[in-house]
Amino acid sequence: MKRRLARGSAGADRPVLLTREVAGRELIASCCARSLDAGVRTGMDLAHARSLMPAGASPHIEPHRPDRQQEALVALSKRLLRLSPLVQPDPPDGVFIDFTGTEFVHRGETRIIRSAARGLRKLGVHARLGIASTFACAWGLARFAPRSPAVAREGEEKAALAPLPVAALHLDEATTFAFREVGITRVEHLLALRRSSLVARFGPEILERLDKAFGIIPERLTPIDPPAPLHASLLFEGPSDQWASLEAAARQVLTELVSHLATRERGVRSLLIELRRPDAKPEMRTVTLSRASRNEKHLWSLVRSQLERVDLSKGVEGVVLRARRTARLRHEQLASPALGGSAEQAAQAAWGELIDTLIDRLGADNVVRIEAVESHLPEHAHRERSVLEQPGSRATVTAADRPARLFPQPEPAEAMALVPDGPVLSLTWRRRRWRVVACAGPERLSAEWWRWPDQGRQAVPPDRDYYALQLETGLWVWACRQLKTRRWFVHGEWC
Amino acid sequence: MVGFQSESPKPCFSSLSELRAACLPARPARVLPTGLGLDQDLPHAGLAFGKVHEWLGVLEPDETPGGKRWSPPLTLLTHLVRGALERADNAQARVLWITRRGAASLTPFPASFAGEGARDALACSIFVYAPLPEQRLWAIDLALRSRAATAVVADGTGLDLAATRRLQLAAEASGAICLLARPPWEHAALSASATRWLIRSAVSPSHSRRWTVSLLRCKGTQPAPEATRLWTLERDHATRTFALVPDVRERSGEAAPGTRQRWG
Repeated sequence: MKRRLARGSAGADRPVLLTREVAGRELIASCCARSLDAGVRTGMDLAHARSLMPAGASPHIEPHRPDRQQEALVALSKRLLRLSPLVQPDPPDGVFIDFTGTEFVHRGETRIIRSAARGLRKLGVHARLGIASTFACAWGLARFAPRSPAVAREGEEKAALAPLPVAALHLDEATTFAFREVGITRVEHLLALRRSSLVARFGPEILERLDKAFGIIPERLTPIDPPAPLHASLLFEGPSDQWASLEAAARQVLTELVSHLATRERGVRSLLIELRRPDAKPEMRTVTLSRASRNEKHLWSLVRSQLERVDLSKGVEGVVLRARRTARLRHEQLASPALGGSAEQAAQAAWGELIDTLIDRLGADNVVRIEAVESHLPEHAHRERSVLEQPGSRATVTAADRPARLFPQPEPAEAMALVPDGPVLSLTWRRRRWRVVACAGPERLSAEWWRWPDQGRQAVPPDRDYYALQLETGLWVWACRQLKTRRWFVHGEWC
Repeated sequence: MVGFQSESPKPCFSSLSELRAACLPARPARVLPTGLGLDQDLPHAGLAFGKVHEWLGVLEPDETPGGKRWSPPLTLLTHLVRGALERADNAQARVLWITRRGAASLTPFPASFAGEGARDALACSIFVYAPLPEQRLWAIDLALRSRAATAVVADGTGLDLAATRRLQLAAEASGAICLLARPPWEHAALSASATRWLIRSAVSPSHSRRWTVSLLRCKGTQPAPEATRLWTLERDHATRTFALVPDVRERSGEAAPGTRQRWG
């Protein structure tokens, strides 16, 4: 299945107009979606276009630079490589993507279309999508179909192209004009004519286009090359079990990788260290960073701590460092405050390095944020989330009177009161009996009704009545009584 | 005869106040007012940033000296952390809590963080769990030296003089405030911290929580009798503030609580 999209210029806060100078006049070369809605068309005079703009919207006017448009198109095509390895830019403003066979990776054709549309929207590109079994058909659908995305199933190309104007066949201007003179405006009119008369009248190209559109003549794609992955390596002449040689080799490889990153203005987020072993599979280690970085000192400290855990007795034949995940990191971000960089960036960089070093030594599960969760039950009221992940949606933290600390396990206790549901007089807890000086409560906490709508299930946590008890030493504890089993527990304390 | 050049004369002070200013320790760059109502007795009217302050925890009910269970004074620590975040000078203020899991963990219940304030203390906090004391010491040192954290709250059980001195130097270099929670049986341990406090529960006649806070050690002041360094604090849950409870007992000849002898 091929796909083609026609790209308008990116939507921004202000309408954008690109102009071209022709014989002393400034004509519109292309415009953004907002201007299209206002009625601006290609080839219009600039003054006319400005008059059509709504009052108050000052348009951004720039001369049209075809070379920069071509560069932007190639960059966009490289980003679309995530959908399929076969991508070809189609100047001036389109991209061909061949995603035959990738349906099982993306789990279905509709998902591919949806993720492509979403991704392009996020990039700020106003795109129209056409999907068909041939490129020529997709080209026409993307440009001229009434709605985007326009999909033509296998074998339905004729039906899909028929209602479209003749220009959907990617003909040159002279032929289109000739067609219009004769009264052939839509492709279905063209299909109604005999093939021999078409050749005689308008030349052989029209037949070639039709055959390509319906899949009779094959089309070829020249895909762009994907960007080369970032890696650097050093292979030894023979195995070595010396730490000094491994350290020196790794340092040299890291320096090389950092220079590659610097030329591409990227920072690494996930680094793969591969140690080649003689007569064995290479050993892989991964270093993950919380922020993209190409600070050689910081990367070296993380790589070195990984290398220290390697068993050198089996020998190492080479070191390869691959940057698995990278992110854009402009040069300005590395400026130190002494050189005029902002303190904010220095603080962010210092924070990222601190987190990375802590995670490297203690593990990602032990450096966490705590998030509040929508739940009454105190043991479910919060959840840990690793610092590397994005913070989730925040629940409101209840302002009720809750203890400063919750015990890891509720501790069993026994309480005595004068009347069954009355104030508690004494508490037996931790093998000692305490006199209760003050008692506040009860507060009933039951299971979250939205989690277990059917109340008859066994897994529902039982209701509890919570009391705040002041013991004779002045310590306040949070004790609860399970209603079903009538057992008491001490759950937390105000310390 | 050999001539010699005399050295340049030592600088002299033109007044007594200049001499005093040269001898006294410098004022800290930033100070955290404790908000507990006892700032007038601290040398700089609050806890200095860039220093280590120790908070010895509440004794557990069945505590025997040498036992293993203690409760860190989390209510006070979260109150101080909220104050420190309000006084942070950079836009992205962060607090690190370095502790271990399980019993005697410093993880406060999230509801105790709720309350008014410009910065959401829970969102600015990162919790680091390190099971071994050496790992905790390393993590506190790293966090203080990195200049990325505004405040570091840590479990300082078993830290000796060398360790606390190392942390003190790291805190001075970065300007972050370090609050160490220690078990109450370590009150006699040598340490390089600037202040050391002991918190105990106190019986309260009403439903508000009460603690007695005593200042065991404060650098830059002379030791004073214990009665003058003991305060009773009461916490109002609704406003989440602390208030001093005045001492009702009046003993003749004793200094009223709250007055201390100070240099200068």
